[in-house]
Amino acid sequence: MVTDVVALLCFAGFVIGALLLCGRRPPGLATWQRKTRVSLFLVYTLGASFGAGLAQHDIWPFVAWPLVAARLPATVTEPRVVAIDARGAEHDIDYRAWWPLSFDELTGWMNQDFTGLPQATQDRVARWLVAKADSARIVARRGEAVGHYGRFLGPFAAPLFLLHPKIWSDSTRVPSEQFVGLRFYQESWNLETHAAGSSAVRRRLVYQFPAAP
Amino acid sequence: MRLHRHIIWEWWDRFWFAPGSPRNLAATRIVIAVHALWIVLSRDYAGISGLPADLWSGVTALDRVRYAIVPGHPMVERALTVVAVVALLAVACGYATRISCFVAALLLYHLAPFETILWTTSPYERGLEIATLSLVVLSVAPCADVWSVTARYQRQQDASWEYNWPLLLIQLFVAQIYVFSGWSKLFRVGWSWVSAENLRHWLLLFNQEDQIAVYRGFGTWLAGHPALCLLIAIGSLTLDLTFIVVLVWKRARKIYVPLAAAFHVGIFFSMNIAFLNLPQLLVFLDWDWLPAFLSKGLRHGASRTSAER
Repeated sequence: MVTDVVALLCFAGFVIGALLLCGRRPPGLATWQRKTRVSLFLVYTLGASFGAGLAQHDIWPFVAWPLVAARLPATVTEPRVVAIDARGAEHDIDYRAWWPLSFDELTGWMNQDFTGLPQATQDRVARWLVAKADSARIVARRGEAVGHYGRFLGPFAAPLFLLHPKIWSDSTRVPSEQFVGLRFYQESWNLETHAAGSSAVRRRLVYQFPAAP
Repeated sequence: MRLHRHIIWEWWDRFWFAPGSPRNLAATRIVIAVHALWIVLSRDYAGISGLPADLWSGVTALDRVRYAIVPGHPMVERALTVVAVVALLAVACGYATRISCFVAALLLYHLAPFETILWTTSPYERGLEIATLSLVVLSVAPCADVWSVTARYQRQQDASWEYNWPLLLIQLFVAQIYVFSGWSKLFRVGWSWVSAENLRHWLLLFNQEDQIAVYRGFGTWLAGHPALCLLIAIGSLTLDLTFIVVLVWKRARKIYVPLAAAFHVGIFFSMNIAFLNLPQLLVFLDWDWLPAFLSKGLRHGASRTSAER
């Protein structure tokens, strides 16, 4: 909450500073006076941007840029959402199926907010997600592009920050059965043993729709 | 004390207010606008506004006020996206930049958070943070004196301090990506971030996670060579922490800018991470060579044509 207020005030100050700079210049304003005004704007901007970066507090658009700034343990945990077809088989879902949501935003939200929602709300969201995944499946089965990432720029569209494989780009690999449910897992594995050839992954079921009888 | 103040002011004046090229500022305007267009046209912020209300349940009222977001109005957001695209096109063409830059900046500030707002209010790494700040700066700068649809009506094209400080400030925003990225590793982890094991784990994660791994060969190969992992960890932290020298030492740009670009290409193929701000490295180029190069090319072409006749 405090971060929100500080961030809003910092950006507002930045914009107001710019507005003051480009406002009507009094006639006869000397160069040194103009430079002083610009300097005040620069000092403010340096304060906001270095403040965010050095304190490592994001006040977007003044950003702290903590890129891979962690020490990664050997055992990692990642989320996975799978669809369930009418026969009960599980299927991975192409990341483009969630458009306009991206895979990373969806799993970030599911990790952080979804599990704390009441059961009825979770089920409503799950029903919507299943419908979304299934309509994407139907499109992919027809051999058409899933999602609309390239609707304006085609193959030149900006990728997502994290890449994801287009697992439904080949229509023969798209599940033929209708999706009727989904499961949300947390998967853990050891990076070193995996690199040595083991494929052991520990799965923890976080949520299932429809709920198991 | 007075002497110190004098020295600091002199340095400040020399750094920010040295004569700058109108072409470099104009090129930066075009780079920032085209890059922002690339991101905006590849996303659907309006679509996120129209997502079911249940998905918005975690977004607080303060978060919405901060970015002036009212969910459930995709048509309004679509209209605002169109205005943002038109404003960015105007910025790229150098048309009414005072207004177009300002409008584009405010709209990007409003639209960009849609991408992540459901779970975080900071859409960093999504590509629009530098553009949002830079467009505010460009709105107060004479960034359309050359290379713009209105350039022929402008007189001032000589180097001036008015072209220098906005360009330097935008370059600083880009340089801060590296400095803060390096600082964050030391701040959050410490020197132990620099280890073969840590980098190997990052490489393994992005190559073993089948929901991310598009390219596997290069990253897996690197992870199998601890000495290389250590070298990359040292090299990347050094690059991050020292990149900022490009602001004061222009010759260093010839090394640092291609090195940073190569670094991001390497990360793309080894870690499956697309650093969306990569094209913004173009703001460090000296664009004054371009008119000379073009006129030389045209002269060469004309002399060849007349010789053939």
